[in-house]
Amino acid sequence: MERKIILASHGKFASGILSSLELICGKNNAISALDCYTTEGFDLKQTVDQLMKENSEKELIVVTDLFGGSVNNEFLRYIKRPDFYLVAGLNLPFLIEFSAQFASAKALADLILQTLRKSKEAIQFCNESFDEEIEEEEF
Amino acid sequence: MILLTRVDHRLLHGQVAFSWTQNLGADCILIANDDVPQNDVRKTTIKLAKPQGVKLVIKNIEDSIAALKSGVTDKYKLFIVVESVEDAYKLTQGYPKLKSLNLGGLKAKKGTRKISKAVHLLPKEERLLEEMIQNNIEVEIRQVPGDKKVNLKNVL
Repeated sequence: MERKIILASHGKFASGILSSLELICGKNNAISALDCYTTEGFDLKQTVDQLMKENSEKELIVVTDLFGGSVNNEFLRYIKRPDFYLVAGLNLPFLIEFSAQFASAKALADLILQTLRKSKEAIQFCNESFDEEIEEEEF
Repeated sequence: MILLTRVDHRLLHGQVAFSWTQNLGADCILIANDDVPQNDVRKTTIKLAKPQGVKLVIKNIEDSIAALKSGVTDKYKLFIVVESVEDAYKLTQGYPKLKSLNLGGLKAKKGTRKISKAVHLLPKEERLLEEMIQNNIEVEIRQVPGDKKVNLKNVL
C-alpha cells in the first residue's frame, strides 16, 4: 500500500518545516503540508475530511504541531481508521529520521515509536549538553 | 571501504550528519581537519552533532592519511568529510586509492567563482581540482543525496 505523510499545523509551521526538511534531505513527493487558518473562512473539519477521503487507499501518517490543539483534534476523529497513524509534536529531528525510513519500514507503528523516542533526545538544553564529557573515538 | 569523501566548509552538520550518513549506510565518519582536534569548541560541537549508532573519529590530515594507509579503516563503511579543497587534495595525494570526491558546500568568499548553488571556488582551488581530475579522480557536485550528480569537469 502506498504511504503518505501529511504535516499539519496552525499557521505556516507545516510548510515551513517541510522546506527545512527538503533543504536537509532533499525533496520527497510522499510528504505534503497542510497550513491551517491561513485564509479567511478556512474550514478545518471540511479540509480534514477531504484529505482523509483523498488518502483513503493509502497508509497515512499525519504529524500535527500540537497535542490537544484543534488541528490534532480534528484528525483524532479518524484515529480508529485502519492504516492511519497520528503523531503530535511536529519536530525536525523526528521528520528527518522518519522520512528517511518510513517508505521501507515493515511496521509503521514500531518505527514511529522508535523515532519519537530518539527525537525526544534531540531536544536539548545546549548549555548543559556542551559540558558533558563525550568520549574520543578511535578506529 | 570508503563510501564517500565530501568537501563541506560546515564539516558535520544537518545534511551531512543525517541525510548523507543515513543514505550511504555509513557506520563511521572521519572528520579530517587540522584545526578541529585542537579546537575544543569546534570539537565538542562536532561530537554533539554525531548521529546515533555511528562511530565518529576526528583526526588531523596527516594522521587521517596514516590511518587510511594502515588498513585500520578497511572494516568500516567510511564517510570522510573535509572542509576545504586543499585538504581534499592533501588526502588524495597521501592516499592515492581515494578515487572520488563529492563537493557539497564551499561558501563564497573574496575571489571565488560560483560553480553551483553551494559551491564557490578560488582559482587556486580550481587548479587543484583540475589536477585531481587529471589523476582520474571523479569530482562531482551534490548537496544532498537526492541531487543529480554534476561532474565538475563539465562545469569548470
